[in-house]
Amino acid sequence: MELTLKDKSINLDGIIGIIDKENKLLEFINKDIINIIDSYNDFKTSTINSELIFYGIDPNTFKKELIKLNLDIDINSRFSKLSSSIKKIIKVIISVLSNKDVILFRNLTIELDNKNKFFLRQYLKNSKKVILLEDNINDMYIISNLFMIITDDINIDKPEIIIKNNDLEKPYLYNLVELLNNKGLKLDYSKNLDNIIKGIKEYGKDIKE
Amino acid sequence: MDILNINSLNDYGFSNFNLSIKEGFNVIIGDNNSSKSTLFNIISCFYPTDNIVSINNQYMNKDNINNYIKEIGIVENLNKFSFLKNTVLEELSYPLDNLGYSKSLIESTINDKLKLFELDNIKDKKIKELNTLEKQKLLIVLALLHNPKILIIDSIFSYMEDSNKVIEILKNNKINVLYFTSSFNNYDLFDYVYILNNKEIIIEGEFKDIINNKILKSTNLELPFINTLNNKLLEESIINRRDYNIDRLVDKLWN
Repeated sequence: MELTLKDKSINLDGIIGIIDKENKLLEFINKDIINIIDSYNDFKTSTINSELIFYGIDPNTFKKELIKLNLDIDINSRFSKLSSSIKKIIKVIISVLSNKDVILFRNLTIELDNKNKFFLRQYLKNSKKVILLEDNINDMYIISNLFMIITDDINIDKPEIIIKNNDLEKPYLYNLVELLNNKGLKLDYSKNLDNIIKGIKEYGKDIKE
Repeated sequence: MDILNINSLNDYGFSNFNLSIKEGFNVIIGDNNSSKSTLFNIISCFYPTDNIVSINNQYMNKDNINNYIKEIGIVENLNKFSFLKNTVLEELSYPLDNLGYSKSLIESTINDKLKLFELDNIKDKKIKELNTLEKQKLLIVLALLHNPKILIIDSIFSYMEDSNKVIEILKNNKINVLYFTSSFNNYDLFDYVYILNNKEIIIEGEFKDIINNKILKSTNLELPFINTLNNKLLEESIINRRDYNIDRLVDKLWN
């Protein structure tokens, strides 16, 4: 999707990790196209079904999304009876089904366990929306195909390039590969620890103490 | 000595659930279906029980609720909390005024607590002028105003930029904490860890003693990266001894 950010026309797709320490994104983006989600507890109504009606979302469409996430939830449930993680997931689904083209999620993965992180990653990757994610650097690195760093200007590139060229905290997986490559290995950066270990096995040597 | 006890909780889906909390920075870690929130709500009096939960020998029951409440300070997440007043000073004075503190005691209490968290400069500010970290620290100050025996904290450090520093302040001042989270962030500062899984404590102990327990695999918890890395390298027989220093571990992998 083509977005205009700070008078630049940029083609964005998929999930983009945002580093925006000075909160400048909203100065640069057309607010009519973006849905900003930074709280996962506040709902306009008291039940899932009434929330769907509020946002004009077809309950059957919503139920199909629940199936994609492997969730079995009664849409007549009251939010007060649901766990924090389920409320977060419902908020994400409603946001994806909304009519905005771009969704910014802040602190999405915090306090989610492995299972919910996995399902949400898959769900957002297949959502066909531009997802901007402002979250902890490790989760952003795993899920994002691009990183966007916003200062007075905007730079968008592969996560590894943005991390390398900016004074950012290094994600664990990136750091591991960088440390190994500094020792002379030639591993590809990967979002999957198993792939990195496969690389170590292929190119490295077993160390027996 | 135990400061918090739960004896045979058989309500809210728990079955013969027991818990003993000692002094220090205690952490209950559980995945998203473990019922952490329910337990938090029970200990915080949001879900009533009758002579099951005690803190500092004060039992939670209908007749003793006021005494029980004095023993706890509750810290919820910022997005679940609404400040009542416009300024920091008004917000902090309000509960102390209700407790009947004198004006001079209110002032000294507020000054002491704010200083503890390096918040001296916010006393006269409006709450809407505070940044997120200042608001988060203010929640902790609010919970500490009446010198409770223990702080019951819900996942706030996962959302806090400077969390290690704030936890160190709590520990250095010997403030007892029971912290609920899904994350092992800040694990090096935990004194004692309880793993809650499906309404049961399945492991407890110091972090170093529980983190390699195979039972953890039955949960959906995300272990610290260095532990996951060691586990996988051991499984692949690439190393035969754990090393929790990433530089040393990399040295072992490739010299």
